[in-house]
Order: sequence, then C-alpha cells, then structure tokens
Amino acid sequence: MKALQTINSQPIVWAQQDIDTDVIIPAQFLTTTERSGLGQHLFHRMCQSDAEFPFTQTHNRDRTVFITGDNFGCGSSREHAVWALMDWGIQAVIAPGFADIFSNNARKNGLLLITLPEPDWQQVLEAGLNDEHIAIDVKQQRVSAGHLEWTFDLDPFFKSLLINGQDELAYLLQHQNEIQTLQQQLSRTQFLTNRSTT
Amino acid sequence: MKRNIVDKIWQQHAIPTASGHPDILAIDFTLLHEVTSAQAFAELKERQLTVNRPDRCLATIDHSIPTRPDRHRVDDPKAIQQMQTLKRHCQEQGIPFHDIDSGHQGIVHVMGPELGITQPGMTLVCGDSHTATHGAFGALAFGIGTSTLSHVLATGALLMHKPKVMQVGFSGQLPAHCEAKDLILRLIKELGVGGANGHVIEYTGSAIQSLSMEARMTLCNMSIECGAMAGLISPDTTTLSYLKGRPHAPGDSEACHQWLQWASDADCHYDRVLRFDVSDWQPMVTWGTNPAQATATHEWVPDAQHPSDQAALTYTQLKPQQAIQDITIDWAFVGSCTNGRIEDLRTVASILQNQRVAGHVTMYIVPGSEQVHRQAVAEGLDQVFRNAGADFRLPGCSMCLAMNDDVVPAGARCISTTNRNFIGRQGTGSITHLASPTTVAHSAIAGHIKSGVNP
Ligand code: SF4
Repeated sequence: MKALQTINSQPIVWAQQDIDTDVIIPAQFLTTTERSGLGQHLFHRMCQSDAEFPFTQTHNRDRTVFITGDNFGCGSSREHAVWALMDWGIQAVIAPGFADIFSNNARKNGLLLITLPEPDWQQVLEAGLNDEHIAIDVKQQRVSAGHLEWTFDLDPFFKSLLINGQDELAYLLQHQNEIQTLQQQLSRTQFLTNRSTT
Repeated sequence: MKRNIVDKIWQQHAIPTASGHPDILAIDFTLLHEVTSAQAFAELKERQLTVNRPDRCLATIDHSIPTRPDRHRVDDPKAIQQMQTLKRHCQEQGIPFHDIDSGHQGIVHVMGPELGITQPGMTLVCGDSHTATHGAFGALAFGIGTSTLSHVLATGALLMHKPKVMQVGFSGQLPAHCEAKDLILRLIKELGVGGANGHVIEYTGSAIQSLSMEARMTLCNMSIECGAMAGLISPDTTTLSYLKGRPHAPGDSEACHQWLQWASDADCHYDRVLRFDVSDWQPMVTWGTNPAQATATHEWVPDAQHPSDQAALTYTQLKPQQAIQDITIDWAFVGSCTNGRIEDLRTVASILQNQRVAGHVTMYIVPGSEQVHRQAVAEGLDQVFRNAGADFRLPGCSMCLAMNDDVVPAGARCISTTNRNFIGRQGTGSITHLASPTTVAHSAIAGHIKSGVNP
C-alpha cells in the first residue's frame, strides 16, 4: 500500500445519495481475475448514457478527490468498486456517510473515505461545485477549500497504516501466534464435524 | 452480566489489541465462490503465504454458471477463466470444492446451511454481501471484500471493531398470506437502505419464533439491504431440528444443548431497539430501484417524495397513484439465495398446480443448489412447473445478477424473488419488482402483479 499524507485536487462532484456498488461497477465486469484495469469501467452505465456525467468530462480526468452523497457504496460487497475508483485515479471520497462493507474495502486498499457531518459536507459540496481546490491533510485530519476548513474523524489505527503505507495483513501476521492459540481453544468447544461431502 | 448473542460470540472469538485499534476476530469458517476470490489467492501467492486452515473453507461456483441443461458449455471466456482459476486455487491449497454435478454445487448461502456447515455461535465469512443469510442459525456471518478474504485465508482472522447491535423485535404473528420476504421488505422500507449502517441486527419476538429455518434465512439474507453488516436470530429448537442429521453437523445431543447457550440472555443490552407489531402487515412489492422503495401489493405507486424517487419512477416507467396490481409483467423469476430453497419451490408449486403461466410471461424457476434440485424432482415439483409452462432450470445465481446468460431483456419487466432491484441488476435496461415466492407465482399466472390475498 502506498503511503498517503496529503491530497490536493479540484474535486469531481456527483452528489447523489445511495449510490450502490452495482452503479460503481456493474456485474458484467466482475469476471476479471485482476485488480487493475477496472477504472475504464467506473460508473459504466452513467458514462454510456449521460454525456454530461462528471466522470466523462475530460477536464475532470486528472482529479483525485470525489464528493458524493450519503450512504455511498451500498449494496454488493464487490471490492471491484474500490479498485475501479482507485484505478481511475481517485484518492479520497467525501460524503456524509458510507456503507459498511465499502468502507472496510476502502481501508484495505488505502482509499481515504472522509465522512463529514451534513452541514460541513454541504459547504464542501458548494466549494466543489465552484470548482475550488480541495486540500486534504491526513495527519491533521483536515480538509480545506479556499479560506474554509473542516476536520474529520479518522480511526487512529487506519490513520497510522495510511500515513506509513502499511497494510492490515502484515499486522495480522505479526499476531499469528495469538490467533493460533485462540483457534486451538475454539476447536475444543466447537462441533464442526468433518464428514466429507466432497 | 447479561449478554446478547453478538456479545457472546465476540467474547469468544476476539483478541483485543491496543486501545483504539480494531480487535482481531477469529473466523471459524470461510465460504468461497468464483467472483470475489481470485485476487485474494493472488495476494497470498505474491506474499508467499498459504491458506491457514483449508479444512475450514468450502468453495463452489454459482455466479457465472449457466442454468440451461448443457451448462458445461460456458460462452464467456473470462467466466471460464474465473471458474478454472478458483478450481485450481482450491486444488493447490487443499480447499474442498463442490464442482457442478458433485451433488452439492449451489449458491454458497444455500449450500452451506443445507450441509450443516453453518452452526450456532460460529463466525463465518464469504466474499459476498448476502452472507448474513447464515445468521438464521445464530452465527455471526457477514460479507467481506476480497482483501479481507485474503487476510482470513492467510491468518484465520480479520481486523474489526465490535459492531453495534440493534434488536428488531417483531411481535404478534405474521398474517397467513404473508411470508418472511414481506416482513423484510417492510422492515427495509421502514429503515431505509442505510438505516442499519454500522449495526448487526438481532431479530427477536413471537413472529420470528414461528418462522421455519428457510424463512429465517430469507429474512436474515436481506439484512444488508438496510445497511446492516449482519442479521441473526438466536438459536432455538427450530434451529436444532433443522441441523439434525445434516452431513457436517454433529449428531450428539451434548452439542445441541451447548448451541442453545448462544441465545441472547433475557433482558440483555442492545445499542438500539426497534419494535413492530406485524399482525396487520401485508404482502409487499418494490416499485423503485432500491429495496426500500416498496409498498403493499394492494396499494398504489406512491407520490415521489425525493428527486431519487422521481428518478426511480422514470426508470421503472410507473406513475404515482397507479394501482400496483395493474402493473403488467413480462418475466417472473423464482430463485436466488433469498428464495431459492426447497420450501420456496414447494410454495410456488402449490400455486402453479393445475394452472398456466400467462401467455406473455416467461417464468424461470432456478433452484438454489443441486440438492434443492434433486429434492424438487423427487417431489415431482419439476412436473408441476413444466405443466404450468414455467422453465425449471439448473442451480446458480442466474437472473439475480445476470452474470450468466439468464438476462431480462432491456425494457422488460420482471417480478422476482431476488434481493436487489438496482438499475440494470437483472440485465441492462431491465425493470425489477422484488416480491415473495407467493406473489411471484400468482403474478406469473395473472400476467400482472398479484398477491395471494383474495381481492
Ligand atoms: S443469488 Fe444473487 S445475491 Fe445471492 S449470492 Fe448469488 S448473486 Fe449474490
């Protein structure tokens, strides 16, 4: 995972709420066995059907901050949604709220999700609609646009991983002994028989 | 200390780490399918890791497999590659794999429970958001992404903060003409699609106690549609009788007794409590493009309250105040991990018996697993379906997400027992109405939306 400390970009804005992962990346692109290459299919249906759609505008092509509506990423657990956003170039998504599995997937990949209370989000949205530059400081947990500034919550554990470019698997592997001890305890109390069905 | 079922499972499975850090949660069982696993195995390979406990994993193929008689012939080369990749990884890592024609292939969430793999008090994951289905057994079961899957495969554990627990109490008894599907559609409508974000739901109350295990699975299955990471039900005697004699379940009564200990203590604490009396609840159907946009089948398409409602109505080509029962359908689909179990097929057969599917309607009935298929044939349900003019097919996810060749054509309207009516979910340009097996069967015969309630 790449270390992520600051982000600077004009934002892409699509302020719809409840955008589900079927919209982010439709099922027809899930037959891939790779993580990369999904950016070209990001928001496929919208890109095909709406010439005004923000992700089809060439002047948005190098933007890395995405401002969107509440409950972003609901629905299917497909991590392809996160891969597609990141492959497209998005580094941070700002919304009033995110769906749980999507948030988990994002943190495993180092995609920064910034949850802002509705009034703050409204202000950022406004700045975004005015095409103002958005600056994000991960360490300070701060978003700014022009002379305005907002702070956001960030899980301290995830923050340290993000800033240092470390990942959760490495952390879990360090705890392998404790996990094994617990597994042995659990096996004693569990009743999973191994009558084979294969 | 009185504890709810999630407290109990968490206490036994979690290793607390530094404060503010997520806990390490040990995972007892992992189910795998072809769509979300390849990149997880690739990650293991890259790091030169192997699967921690292959005997605690089970894989099958369900999403992209055809459901026609010659289902060995897959036309999409990428789908072929994906299925072969899973098979190869399972062989390399020693993970049991239920291939087609093994007798046990099926949708993971149908296959696991019917084999007795899902048991009370366990933690179970799958790279699939409908893993909550397994919560019907009092297991803490939830969907994970592919990266988390690689963590679990490599270490047998994942990192997670303990979720909040919401009790949803259903008192009274569901009317005879309602099913678990109607119950959950109504709950999602009440809560909204993100209403339970950050929570695990425990379903309790008299209306739950009288549900069969199949119905409980239908209910827990759709917990994700209101944002809950999982939905579960404390184990009781219904749970134990279902598990009895299943291949992976133990036979001794000692185990059964222990299972009941997982049930939430009376008067335990919940982070949030919701209560509903369901005695007058009605059959439900969706009219929009998310599962919360639902109404009772005898009502009318509602007025748009938000711009998103308006967008949904434009997509589904409906007008406010139009009677739901006047909506003509072109397709009817019975299947999926929500309603593709034997009990669902029996319900549908009892309605299709000596009836014909309307001439303009194409009806697919897709069993959730090879086992369900076998059982349906043994009971003669396949004959009933054929005589009614429905197409009884081979097991898989099929028209639930249209990743194989079972696709609702653009512009066509389908009434479906599945769990998502998102735009294009059943095929580009298709329109979906979610409903119970009973409503789907009656609608297929009538040619328009119709519930089992006599007008
Ligand atoms: S039946 Fe549908 S919801 Fe269930 S696992 Fe398959 S695709 Fe997912």
